[in-house]
Amino acid sequence: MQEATDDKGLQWKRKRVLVVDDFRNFINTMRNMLMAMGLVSIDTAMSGEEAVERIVSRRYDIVLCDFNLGDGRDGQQVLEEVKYRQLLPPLAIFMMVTAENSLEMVMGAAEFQPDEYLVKPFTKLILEKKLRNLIEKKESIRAVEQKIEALDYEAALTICEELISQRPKHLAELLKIKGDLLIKMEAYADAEVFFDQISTLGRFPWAMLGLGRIRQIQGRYEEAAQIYSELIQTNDKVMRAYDELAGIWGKLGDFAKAQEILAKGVEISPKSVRRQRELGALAYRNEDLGTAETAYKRAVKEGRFSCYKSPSDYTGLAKVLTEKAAPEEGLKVLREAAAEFPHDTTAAVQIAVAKSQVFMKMDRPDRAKEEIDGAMKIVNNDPRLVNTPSGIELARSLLSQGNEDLGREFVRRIIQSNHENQEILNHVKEMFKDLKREEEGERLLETAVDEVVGMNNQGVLMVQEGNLDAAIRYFEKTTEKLPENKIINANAAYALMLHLKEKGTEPDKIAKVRTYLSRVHRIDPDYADLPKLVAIYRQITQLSLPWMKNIE
Amino acid sequence: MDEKHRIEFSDIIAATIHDTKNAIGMIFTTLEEMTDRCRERGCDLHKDLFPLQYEVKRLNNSLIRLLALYKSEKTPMTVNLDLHSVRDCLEEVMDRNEPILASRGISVSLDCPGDLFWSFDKGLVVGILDNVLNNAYRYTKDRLIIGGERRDDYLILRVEDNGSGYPPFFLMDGGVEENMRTPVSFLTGNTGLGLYFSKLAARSHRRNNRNGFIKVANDSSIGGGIFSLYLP
Repeated sequence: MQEATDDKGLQWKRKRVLVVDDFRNFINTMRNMLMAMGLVSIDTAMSGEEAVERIVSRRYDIVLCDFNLGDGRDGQQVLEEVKYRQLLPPLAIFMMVTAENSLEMVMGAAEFQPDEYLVKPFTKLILEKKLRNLIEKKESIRAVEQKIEALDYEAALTICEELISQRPKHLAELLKIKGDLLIKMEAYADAEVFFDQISTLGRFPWAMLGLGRIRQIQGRYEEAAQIYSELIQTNDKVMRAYDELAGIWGKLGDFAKAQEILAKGVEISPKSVRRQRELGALAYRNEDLGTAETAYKRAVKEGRFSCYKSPSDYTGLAKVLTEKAAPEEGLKVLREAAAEFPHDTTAAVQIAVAKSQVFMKMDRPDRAKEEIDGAMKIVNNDPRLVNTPSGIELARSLLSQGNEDLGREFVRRIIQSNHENQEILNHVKEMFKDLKREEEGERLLETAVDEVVGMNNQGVLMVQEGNLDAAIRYFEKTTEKLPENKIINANAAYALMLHLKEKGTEPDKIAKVRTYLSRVHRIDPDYADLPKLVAIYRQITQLSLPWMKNIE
Repeated sequence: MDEKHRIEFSDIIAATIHDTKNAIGMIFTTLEEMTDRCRERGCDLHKDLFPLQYEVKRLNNSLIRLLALYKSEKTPMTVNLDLHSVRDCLEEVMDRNEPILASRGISVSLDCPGDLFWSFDKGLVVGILDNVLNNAYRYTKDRLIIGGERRDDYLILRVEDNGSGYPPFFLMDGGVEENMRTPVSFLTGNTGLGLYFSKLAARSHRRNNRNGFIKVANDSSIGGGIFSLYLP
């Protein structure tokens, strides 16, 4: 058995394993089992913190992690951090070990799913079979994953479909990947047909979520809402369905309903920092300060060991407290926030803006202005901050504290960096609405967007007229003005690549292309035109890009 | 203590079962290690340890079911559907019972095509079959067949033995009107809990207005009892 499997190239014995458990006894048992299976490279960790440290410093193929790890991070938080920070190799295995009685709780809380849950007690044989099965599964999707990582979606889809037609053991995994791919490729009509077909086989959560996604993209919100509701009815542990459903009600303007749904989700999975934060924001909006306070406090608490902790948990709580006539407490929370996010400039801006808003409520405009000046200084040193939520909050404070010129200029920068990002533009609109300056906001938005569109079109026209050198110079200048606009960056890269295609490779120009494409990827990794640009880049240079992981 | 602050007795029982079950889990793992070490050293004792391990596992399964039933009283059973390779699931059921069955010289064969896929909750289904196989250990002579096939838009999973068959009060034809309760007999040691749980879990699978069900009969192709789980 062992020999036969190894012949498939699984290289079983060479796998590096990390066992995480807070009980020495269990670690020993596990180690004995693994050694009896022929594995030799086995490390151990006795806490979530230690586990993350080990995973950072060494490349593991398999992580066996107990859910209960005593104080500090639990197994789910280790998994989330590892996935969120992409600490493990793409095809590594993460197995969550649980006692049966906590299985449901564990699964309910899952934002990221492990590859498998291993329920105690288990025998050596079961562990070995499961591990071999998972390794085999990862191997079976390796070729597809390689293409996906390289953003070569067409090739990935071709391989995926070829594999599906062979109806292999891990068919479901390939079907899931295919669904994701179709959405990534924006082939929505195909995706719709695909998910419809799948749902005749069974109402699987992943397929229903996929179908709901398509309906939302098509703007058919009522139908999407119905899909998510049905999903929750049949399986109340599919947490994403709550989030999506709440999001839809928010979009349709029914914030009371959105809050109600999210409150249900939070009841089932109270440990999710992001959901608590979202509930806090909704409740605050609905002027339900009691719920908002509870939710934000829970977000702060659960955030202590979570990679999802955010300054928004603190600034949200501070807002609520200030609203509840306890601004001093609000300031205290913000001081804690500053200590919690010491070297994070985005956080620093956000916290300063929040402080300033609290000071305004306390009728201390001098202190408020000081905070804003501090925030502006940070932003001027780091243009990337324009694209963060704190950017809009900063603009709001500038405008509401009478800092007109600076405020308007800053809003323009936000708009022009995001002229095709409807979500951010909506936030800007809403901000003007809150300030009771709706009409003025509309005008500003329109002229700012028109201006960028004009700028971009001018460059595109130069390309179309074959005036490449001029286009390259033009886009270079424009990216300096708007370094955070993904479309300008994408077009700058495109113009340069056309030149390279004609004139052959020039190292300095290739370096520039890399910079532009990396920026586009940082701003929006899912940007629809990125795969095409990457394909051209690869054709010219035969190289991959810095952010891509190497799946050997 | 006033009414409001009194903990429900069923909750106390549930908490105690949790605790007991975890302790039994530890015993199971330790026993496995001991058995393994025994076998390695060529000591004969490991044969005596198998029945012990078997009973511990049975106890553990009972407690898991008990907890699941307790939960299903409070909230409806959650069915976590996905598309599964049927053969893969049946293999897992076999693996879970292989050492114990082998120790009694019972041979298990698998009868299921490799390209059969179906939609169900793997945890629930594997749990049901695990329980059946675990019982068959006591009642079969020396053979077991575990099989899966598609018929009339149902997936049928079956466990056949060549023992003397199920007692009459156990038989079930899977009819809709089937009484959900099975007689409890402390004399035979059968609490019917496993069967009751299997029925619940089968029924919670629903598709196109049809529910899952189970059949228990004595017309096995190898001459003993046959347990079938039908999933729509």
